[in-house]
Amino acid sequence: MAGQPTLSNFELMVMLAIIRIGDGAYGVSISDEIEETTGSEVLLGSVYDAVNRLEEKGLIESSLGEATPERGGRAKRHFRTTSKGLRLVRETQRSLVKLWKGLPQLKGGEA
Amino acid sequence: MTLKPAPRAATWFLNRFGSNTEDESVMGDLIEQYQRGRGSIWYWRQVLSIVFAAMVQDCRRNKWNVLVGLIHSWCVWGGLQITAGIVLLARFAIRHPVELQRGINVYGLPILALRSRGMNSTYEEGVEIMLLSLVLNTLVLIVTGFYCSRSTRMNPRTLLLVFMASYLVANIGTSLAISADIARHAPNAAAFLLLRALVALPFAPALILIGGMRGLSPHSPYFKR
Repeated sequence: MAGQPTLSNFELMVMLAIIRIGDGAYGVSISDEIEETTGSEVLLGSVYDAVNRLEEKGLIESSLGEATPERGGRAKRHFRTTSKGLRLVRETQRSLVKLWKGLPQLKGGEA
Repeated sequence: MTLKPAPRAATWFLNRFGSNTEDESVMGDLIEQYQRGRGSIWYWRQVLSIVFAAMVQDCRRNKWNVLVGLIHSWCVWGGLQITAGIVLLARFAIRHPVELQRGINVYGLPILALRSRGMNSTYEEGVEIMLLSLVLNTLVLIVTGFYCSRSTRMNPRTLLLVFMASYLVANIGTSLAISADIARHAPNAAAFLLLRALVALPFAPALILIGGMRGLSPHSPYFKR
């Protein structure tokens, strides 16, 4: 993993939200997805900060979409994962699953 | 389609301080959410979080520029403060040439002599000195804000916000230290000083902002590059 970009907890959430939404993922839908999944409020500023970092690392790419009236005529910025991003998410998942396995403290669902 | 108007001040703040946060899509996201029935407090929180995130991102990308700009801005502020002190000293020297020598003998540094509480109360010029100091401090902050927004190679908004934050921290720290020192022999005076500092606190960032406003305009040299 040396030299490869790493993902923070929130960056991983954003990556997963983008993958789950698929085509048409943008700021609002990403924050909605994370809010629904985690149950806690997500600030749009954190989402933009994370997507900018992910884009700098080459893990996602963005393009401007259509402008709609309910957005005051402003265009959406759509995000999609790159193959590099998908590969990193898979590797992160594998590493986490390995770390998860065989932990007696986490069995049975009680802290 | 009629849109519910979003809080104007927050939108203005975002336009000025979030100017490089990726085109208009950010504003579009905010408007879309606001139309879904979110309130003004929610809107303000989002705006502040966006501006903060953009500032952190800029700082991360331009660490050295921020550091150098911050040091320069503090130097400018210090230089202007000393100049303001000299103006006060000159005014005092003209009015009380004999007493000035006594002030220097008692307090050492002439600037410290003029700014000290003892000197003010001795010559019953407290109010006048306070007003003159207020005017000079106002000018110092406005000019420093102007310098912040014009001197940097990076987005001026970031240096302005970082300077404002550092000024607030330094001001709070100094006020607390002075109040704690005075509180040992005059608790009431310390409480008054602290209250005065607390009331004055929001004005300093506002003055820095007024000074830096031209640099934040979309027509400023940075945004024209």
